[in-house]
Amino acid sequence: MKKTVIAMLLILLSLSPCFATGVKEEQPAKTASYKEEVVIGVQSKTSGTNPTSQTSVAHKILFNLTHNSLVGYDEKSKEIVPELAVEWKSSSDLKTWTFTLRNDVTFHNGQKFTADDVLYTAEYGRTASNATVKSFWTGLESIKAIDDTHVELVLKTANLDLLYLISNEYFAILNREAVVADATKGPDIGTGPYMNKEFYSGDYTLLERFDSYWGTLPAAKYLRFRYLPEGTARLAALENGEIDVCQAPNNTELDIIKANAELVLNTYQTTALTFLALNTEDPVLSDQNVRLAIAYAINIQDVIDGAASGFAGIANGMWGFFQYGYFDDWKSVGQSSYATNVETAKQYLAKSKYPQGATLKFTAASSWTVNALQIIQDQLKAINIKVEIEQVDAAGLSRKTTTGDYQAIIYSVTFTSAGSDSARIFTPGNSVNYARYNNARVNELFNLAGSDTNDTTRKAKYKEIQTIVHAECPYVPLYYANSGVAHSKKAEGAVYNTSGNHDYTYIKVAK
Amino acid sequence: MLRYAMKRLLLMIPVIIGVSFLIFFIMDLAPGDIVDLKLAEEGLTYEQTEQLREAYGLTGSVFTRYFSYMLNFLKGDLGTSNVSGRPVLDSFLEKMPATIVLACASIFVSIIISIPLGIYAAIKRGTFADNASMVLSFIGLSIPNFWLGLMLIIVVALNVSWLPTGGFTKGIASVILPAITVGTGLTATLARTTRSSMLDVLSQDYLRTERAKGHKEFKVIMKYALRNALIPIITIAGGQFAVTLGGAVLTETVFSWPGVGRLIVDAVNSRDVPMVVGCIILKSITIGIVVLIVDLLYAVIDPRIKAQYAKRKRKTA
Amino acid sequence: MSINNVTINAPATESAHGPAPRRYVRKTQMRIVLHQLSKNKGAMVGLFIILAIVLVAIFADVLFDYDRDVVGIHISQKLLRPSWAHPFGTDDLGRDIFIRVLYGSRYSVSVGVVATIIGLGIGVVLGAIAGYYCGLAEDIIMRFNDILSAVPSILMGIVIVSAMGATTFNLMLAIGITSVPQFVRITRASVLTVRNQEYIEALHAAGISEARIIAFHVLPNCLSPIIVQATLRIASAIIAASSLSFLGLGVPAPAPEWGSMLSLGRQYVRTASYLTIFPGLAILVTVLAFNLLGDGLRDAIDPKLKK
Repeated sequence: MKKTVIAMLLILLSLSPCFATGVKEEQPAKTASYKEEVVIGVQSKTSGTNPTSQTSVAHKILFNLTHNSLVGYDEKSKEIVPELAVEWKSSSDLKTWTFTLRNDVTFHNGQKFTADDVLYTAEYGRTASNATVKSFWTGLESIKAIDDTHVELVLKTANLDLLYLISNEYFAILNREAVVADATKGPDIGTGPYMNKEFYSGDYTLLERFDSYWGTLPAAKYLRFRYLPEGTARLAALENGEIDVCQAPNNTELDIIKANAELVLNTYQTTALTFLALNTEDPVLSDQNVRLAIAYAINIQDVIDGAASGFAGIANGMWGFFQYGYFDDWKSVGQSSYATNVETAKQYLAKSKYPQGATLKFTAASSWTVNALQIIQDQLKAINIKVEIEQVDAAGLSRKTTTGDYQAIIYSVTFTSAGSDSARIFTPGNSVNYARYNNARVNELFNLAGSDTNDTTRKAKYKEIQTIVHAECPYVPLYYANSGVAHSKKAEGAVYNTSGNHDYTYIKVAK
Repeated sequence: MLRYAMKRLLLMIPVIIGVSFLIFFIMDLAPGDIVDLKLAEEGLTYEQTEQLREAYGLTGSVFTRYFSYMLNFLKGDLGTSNVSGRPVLDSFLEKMPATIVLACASIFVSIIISIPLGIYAAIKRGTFADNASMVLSFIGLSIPNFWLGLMLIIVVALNVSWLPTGGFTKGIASVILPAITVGTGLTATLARTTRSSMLDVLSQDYLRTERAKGHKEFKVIMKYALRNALIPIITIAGGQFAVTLGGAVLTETVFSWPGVGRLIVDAVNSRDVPMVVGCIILKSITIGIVVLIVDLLYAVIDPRIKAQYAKRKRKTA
Repeated sequence: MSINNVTINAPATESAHGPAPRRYVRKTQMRIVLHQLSKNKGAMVGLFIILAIVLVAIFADVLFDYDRDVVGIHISQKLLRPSWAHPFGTDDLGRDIFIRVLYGSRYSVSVGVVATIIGLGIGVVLGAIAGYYCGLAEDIIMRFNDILSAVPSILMGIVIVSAMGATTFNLMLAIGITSVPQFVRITRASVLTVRNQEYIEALHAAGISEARIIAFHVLPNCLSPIIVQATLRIASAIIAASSLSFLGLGVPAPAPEWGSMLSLGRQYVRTASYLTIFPGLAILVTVLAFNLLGDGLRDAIDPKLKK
């Protein structure tokens, strides 16, 4: 039996150069001692394979494997790294950017990658359904190909964060011929190390190694992302050997993983900031003192213990701690952090238009937010604020946040490391501005900071934003939840990032 | 009988029209639509949402939208999913095998537990064993099956390595636990039917004759009694098969089973109206046909029923 | 969901029992039924459990302080194993599961009962009209019934609750609506057998209004199968409610509805299984009690099955 297997492997090995491009002949030899297919159990459903249409982390993980952007972002070193562009330079006013492209890249359909594909990606992006993608490409002054390997982008206003922005997976480069030939399947074609092979929404996504990939070839021939929404079932599948990696195991079951010698647990504090958004357009909550009373009445540690099993770090401001311009020294600006203090809370409430307390309705859209809201509901009883909990599903929540028909919700947002990213929650016209916050000075500061090339003055602007927001309290920052990845001891090579955007390119599992 | 079958099939048409309108109408009441979800997930701008609503055909009254949906439906087009952009029929057919496998397997589980249990209870009528087996089947009926599923994963799947905890990837092994979960609930009815049907038959004279011929009791029961008791059992199992085809949503959720039930629940959650309406129509048609086949089978097996159809035909004619 | 077919699939019951035509006969029949029932140990156990649960549900507010004992959060006491102080342990927010399970009987039983009453109310009226007046009214009602029953009830429940919002009343309404077809079918079948009796014609001749005849003379003679169906339906309604709660479509937090307790406890199924075991058992016992009683009633009313 073993002999036949070995014989067949040898035949395969001798044949493989025929399929591969010839450069990487030695690569498949390494795979012999590793499993051909690696299975990753994921908690979120993926609903599409078009990189320009989906922005959630669950999708980014896949698009990182199937597509490339001009540049990449290395979360560990926090640096921009070359991808399809080997180098880039910008004019002194930061408006004109020239990218030098690789000339050894082919798409999954065999087409050679050229500057024309970048132009096409821009053309396609101007009609994309994703607002970030669409507004970026439509907001360009010009884009042109100097020759096959050089592209020049001209911006209308200077943008310091340009490279961070286009390193996102939804700025992946598409192939002109593929999309023109098939508008629905075409965007699946990328230049990444893996190709889309099968996709069953709500079941699994199967990727196959792209043997003509321009970089180092991965070890596993297939990567299968299996959708297992139940945390318990997902971990059980890992223990059972059905999957090799279990993303986001339940916090309640971490001890089971630690006790199992066959499994390895990676935990980290995520960069997802969980907060309570108070609708500033609501009659009661438009009163800043009511908002501050709520902020001081909440005991965040209890919320963490009850809703996140104690696995989270307290957030001290509505700005990512890892983000450019983060500031939390409230005393230096004559403020204090929202540490639990029922007396302070009562004082704020007494100053408000509702000194006798009020009845509010908080909206929850998932089971963990229900838990968190129950704790907050219990805590707010101390300052005579009665909370009713209303449960809706994701679509219902989205409709409510669009129309403003809600008082408060718990939500979490993962910011990028760019300071400008916070504009999403503080400036009007953004769908995640759940406090419906609108402060003219804050809006102005975001605009000014975006084009400010001086590090010190830029940071000062971001600091001023945070100071205003902390005083007006449209949001109560809660915590950064911990998350983790459990995998079999035999799995190695994956890079687990605190954003949850893990890189599985070089994962391999020993047989 | 063919005429009867044709009539039943024709009667399904108004039912399907009604079902589609009902579901269409209820889905219209739901807060939020697919565009709201996209707004949250993909960060659309507000003016884009209006264009998208136009593109998805979400503007206009529920009646005009239903009318244009039905026009396409009559042309044989069930529409495409608003989420994946794939034809609804394709998605349905893709998930159907898993649903059929689960339905067959759970009926199988139900039959192998309930028929022996029912026969045993009938033979030992009135004894402790009879009562115990009936209580047991009642407990099976009363267990919330999602709870049973979770317990099975914990108690069985984690200790028996060849039994997977979910999904439909390991062939026959992967269907065992979901089938037990669904089958347990069906067992009680079938066990009771078997018991009462056997009791009916066991008191018949011809069995006494067979016994008098010197046949072993086991043979008498298995060969003569059971065969005659089978008719109601088959009918009920058939009906259960139809019901199981209709909704093992919770079992599918617990075991990550890629069936139609979960497809529909996901579609409801993502407000994918063409998917919800299309799948429920297809599901209703499937169930309707299965029920019809069971009824016809019943008639084929039992001449008394066949006679009834004939009578009805005369009446209607 | 698997329960619904208990009665659908028992055509024997629907047709085999012949309700006695006159009221005085009914009284004696009632006595026989009760006598039969009292001899059925299972049904008596079921009845006893139901009475106990109903008593707990009624006096829950007297026994416990809702704000402190039922929904009050005590993070420092979270996830304690079952002990004398907390017989069923405490949940992830430090609430006593024993108290919550007892208090939860209010929600689960009331959802089951009210949902059944909704289904019964609509179903009996429609069924009686369909059975009594043939022709167009019957056709319309029965086609509507076909439409309702063509959609699997769990899916119908999911669609309705998702559309109307997860509140206790919507949950009751959704489950009630899905049980309408069975009540229509059973009522119509019974009314059909009673309608042509001579005494109905006599009442008709005496000039009594049709609504009166249906309400006071036809329906009372059709009650037994409806009662059986209602009892069994409460059992399946409780399961349906907990199923919808399990999918997050139930009674909103922090109310201790058993299904939502199960749903919130399911991530602790391995580490603190008492969070799921006890609410699960509570559902099991309650549903079992209603099933036993309903089944006993059916046997008592329909002696053919009992032998």
